Amino acid sequence: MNKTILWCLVLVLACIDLQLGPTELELDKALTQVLASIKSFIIKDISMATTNNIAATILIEIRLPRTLLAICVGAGLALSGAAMQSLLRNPLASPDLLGLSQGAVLGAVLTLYWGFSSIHPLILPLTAIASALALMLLLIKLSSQIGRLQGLILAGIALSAVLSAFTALALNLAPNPYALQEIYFWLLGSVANRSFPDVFILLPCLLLGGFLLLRETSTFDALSLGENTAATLGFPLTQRQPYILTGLGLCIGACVAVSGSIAFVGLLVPHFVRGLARGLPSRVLVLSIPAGAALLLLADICVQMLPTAQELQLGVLTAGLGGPFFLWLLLGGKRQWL
Amino acid sequence: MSPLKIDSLSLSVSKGELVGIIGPNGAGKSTLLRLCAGLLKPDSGVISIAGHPISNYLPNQLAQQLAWLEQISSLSWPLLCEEVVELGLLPYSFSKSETQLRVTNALSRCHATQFAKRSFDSLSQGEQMRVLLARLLNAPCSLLLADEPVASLDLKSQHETLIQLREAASEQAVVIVLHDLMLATRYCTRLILIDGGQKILDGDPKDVVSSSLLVKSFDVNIAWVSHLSFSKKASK
Repeated sequence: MNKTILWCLVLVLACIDLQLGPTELELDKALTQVLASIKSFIIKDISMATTNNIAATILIEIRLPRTLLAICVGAGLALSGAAMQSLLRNPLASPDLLGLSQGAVLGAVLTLYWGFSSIHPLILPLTAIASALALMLLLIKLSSQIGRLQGLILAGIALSAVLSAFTALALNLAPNPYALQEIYFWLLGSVANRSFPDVFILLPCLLLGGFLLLRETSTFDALSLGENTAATLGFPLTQRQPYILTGLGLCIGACVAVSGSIAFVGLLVPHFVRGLARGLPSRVLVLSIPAGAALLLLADICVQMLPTAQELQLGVLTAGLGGPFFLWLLLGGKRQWL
Repeated sequence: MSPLKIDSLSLSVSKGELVGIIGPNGAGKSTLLRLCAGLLKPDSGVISIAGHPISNYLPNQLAQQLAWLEQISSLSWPLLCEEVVELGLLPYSFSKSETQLRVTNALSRCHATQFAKRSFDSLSQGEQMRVLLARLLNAPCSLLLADEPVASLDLKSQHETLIQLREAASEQAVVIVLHDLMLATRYCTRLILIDGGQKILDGDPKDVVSSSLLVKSFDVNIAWVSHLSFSKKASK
């Protein structure tokens, strides 16, 4: 029931998001044009397709990727956050706890720093995903040696400190103010000015990662009774952890790669969902997907509607509003869920 | 991992037994139980359930053979009690109605039906134990293992818990770690005294507790007042 409501909300917000943009656009007209061009594409009547369809181009080439990315990134970050909290049995866990997102950030920042990103637009996201996956392999290796979850958290914190330091170093040594600004803006996170290739990079990683995480819902449920009990219920962490970490690496890496580091979504959404529906991790995971998508769409709508001189970066809004909301959850009637 | 060691220890437990493992702190009781549950791997030797070494089982198959109750059980998330009990059925693929039926039965067997829709966190420790017991007894497996199930309970809950486990022992083999010798003698069908990772005594509770080796292991003088004579005196 909650799931249906949340998905409907995503749909409504997506429609609103598609309407927004610097150019006025009548959505119904644009849609007719889109349909017309699809029709002409099918019947292979090229002459019809080339006639005046700027509105359709704006809708398909500019706004649709942006909306799709907001949905996917929101869903991906929220799902990884929920999985991370369930795996580590810790309500403070979020996608950046184990350093996976810092790994992706460092990869991306280095391509900006050395200017590789200007060679081809896909170099940045691909490097970011690759570095998140490299870090994931390191974490799997570490976790098999450490064994205990507590140790994995500490190792992840150590790794993310080192990675953040390198990112700070890149900022510190930035060759010129322009590079500095570029890196800094990218770090704040946004889904504006993206195109379909970004969506095509994100989707396969997100689908595979999401599949791996959703396959482990029983593991997460069993883990709520503790690591040992979970093992005696047939879900020994030593065996499940590599799959979970791979899923997390793919989801987080891909989301950071296309949108920068959008703060707080992964931490906030699982808590919000836990207040909405009672606590079994499997349910929190499934509900976090539409809730995350809805939240990021809402944030994207806000940045586009706010009359600021320069459009706000998404990360600014999610952290700026997410923090107080989180405090409200903590202090208010929902305290028992935290 | 653990500093404790179990050394050349051999025992077998069968259906119908409620085996109490006793011994001083650090004797290796919990380690023994963890070995049986497959949570620790022995450096040498074999642990078998139903005739097969546990290392031959897949995790899910092993989970269908035994159920385990942790010494300290806290939940990471506020779950409903019926959800907690249902988690005990994770290794099995029962239909939805069958699952519901088993959960209801397990709850009523442990006198916890009234807690079904309540949050586990809102219960007292004794009530939580009833729910956890329902979770444990919910599993249709051959071996139940419980590490100090009565350690933090009041007198009444201690007795109730052990009565439940004793009842379960008519269908299953039950092995528990206990500290309270009085309770151990009263409810267990067999006691095993462990010290220094070795089996010191194994047998009928009355014989075990009256042995001089028990006094030596615990390093305190133990005076036994028979239950019967005590109640006679009280009634006079």
